[in-house]
Amino acid sequence: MTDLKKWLWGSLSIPFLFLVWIAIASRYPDLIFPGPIIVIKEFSVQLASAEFYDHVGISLYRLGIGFSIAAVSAFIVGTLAGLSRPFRLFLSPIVSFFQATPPMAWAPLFILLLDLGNAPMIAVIVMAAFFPILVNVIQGMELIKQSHIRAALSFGANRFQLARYVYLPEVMPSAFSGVIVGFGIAWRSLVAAEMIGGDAGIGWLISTSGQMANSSLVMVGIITIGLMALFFELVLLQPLKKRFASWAPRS
Amino acid sequence: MEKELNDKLTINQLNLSYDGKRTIFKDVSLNIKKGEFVSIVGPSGCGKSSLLNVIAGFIQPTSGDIYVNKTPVKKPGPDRAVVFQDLALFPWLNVIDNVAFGLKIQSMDKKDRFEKSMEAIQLVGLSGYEKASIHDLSGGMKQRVAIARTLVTNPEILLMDEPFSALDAQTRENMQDELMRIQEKTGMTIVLVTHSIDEAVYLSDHVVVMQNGGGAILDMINVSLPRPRNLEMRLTPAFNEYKRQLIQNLKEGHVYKGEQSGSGI
Ligand SMILES: Nc1ncnc2c1ncn2[C@@H]1O[C@H](COP(=O)(O)OP(=O)(O)OP(=O)(O)O)[C@@H](O)[C@H]1O
Ligand SMILES: [Mg+2]
Repeated sequence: MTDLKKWLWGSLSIPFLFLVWIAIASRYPDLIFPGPIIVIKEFSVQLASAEFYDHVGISLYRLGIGFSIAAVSAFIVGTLAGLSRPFRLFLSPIVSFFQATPPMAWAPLFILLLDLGNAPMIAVIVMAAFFPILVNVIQGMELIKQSHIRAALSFGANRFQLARYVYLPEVMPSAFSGVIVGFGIAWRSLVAAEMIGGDAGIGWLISTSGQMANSSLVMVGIITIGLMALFFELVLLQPLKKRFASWAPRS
Repeated sequence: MEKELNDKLTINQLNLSYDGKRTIFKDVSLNIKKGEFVSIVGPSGCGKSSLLNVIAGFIQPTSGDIYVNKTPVKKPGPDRAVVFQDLALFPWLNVIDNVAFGLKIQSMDKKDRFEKSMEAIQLVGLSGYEKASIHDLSGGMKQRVAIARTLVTNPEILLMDEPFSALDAQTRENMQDELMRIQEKTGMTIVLVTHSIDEAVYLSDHVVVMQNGGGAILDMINVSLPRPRNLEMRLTPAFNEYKRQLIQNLKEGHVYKGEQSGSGI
């Protein structure tokens, strides 16, 4: 299929969504389930309000801090685990346990421990993103070809050069898969955590709007979350992946 | 044992066991002179790759010594370049960056790196493909990249583990001729592991026959066909006589293996 054709098929989903939306909304009162026109109006109202940007900003801030902490620490721990089999074996049950628990289940505990505000939300994000990235970094380390290491060694590479010119590029594709998966989980968990115990943020905006029966603002919140995720994926993560991991064989 | 003055690679009484129980090979001694082409043949699992890895310095022998120019070597180094069976090209680098890798490790500056790499690429006949991605190359072209990557650092010894086994017959013959041409030009000493008797005779000055079941080197056959060699020589009686000798030797190795496995190895 040509790129244009692919793009056309993909873009068909937008009118489709709108049609389904209109069909469902037409069966309910506007106050309960508003149609596109009301929601778009609400959207433009919100885009003109400073408060809306504050909520988006605070969620982004939490995401940025939490995700950076998770990515950097997962990378370090993953590399060490890749280098040491005993450490890997030691980590394995811990990773399985934490991967099986939904990150936002920790939110109440984090709020008790860290109080309201940014800290517990950041903790949820770290919890959500750390393990998927870790698992993928470890996997990437295991996939490093012995012959690549030996080739570098036979040219006289030292430890630093080995890490910089073999380990790092070779682990990138796996690490990036982890980053993309971890990002998706982190973003969703953040919104959920803000809904149950936040004091601000896009998730909090949605839950308070719901309590006040403001369904059109709820819809605006949901659409904002989706669009932002799409934006990060397309503008940030995919180009980065292309830049650092495009050589990987399709898996 | 007296070592000759022009020995490039000396292997002295090498023994290897991975687990301390089963012997992979024992008492392997070889003297290889500068510019010689030596092939190692032997049944699968007899330790050819292991021997090459010990010479390269990737694994430590249980006992014995390796000398390059009379200097003992213990770890990998650029004096012994390796062409790996899986080639070990770096798929995240394009052709020229793969070729330049060894120079980058040696911290050569960018301009010299470029010049030397272009030279090597030309020598293996890949001019015009400098920017190509490794994924897009044919098997034979990848081979050439792997060889070019070793040439840039001017290694004295080239170690190759079944480098041509994945190629079709036609490409394989071409690469064999290329390799001889490159050796002639560079004066490198080459040690090649191969399963092909034909290839061993065609390329080598000496063919080493290893035996199965943790033995010493079974035999060494000197191939005194004139150089430069060409495809027609493969049809001569002399060529076939060398092949016959080798096959005979390998058969004896097989009988030997049978006795060994009977004794619980
Ligand atoms: N890293 C290792 N640890 C333990 N045993 C090994 C290791 N590498 C090889 N061996 C064993 O040593 C023996 C010789 O293996 P090697 O790969 O050197 O044989 P080979 O002659 O190269 O065989 P082939 O022709 O199939 O490539 C085999 O029995 C193999 O199982
Ligand atoms: Mg082998």
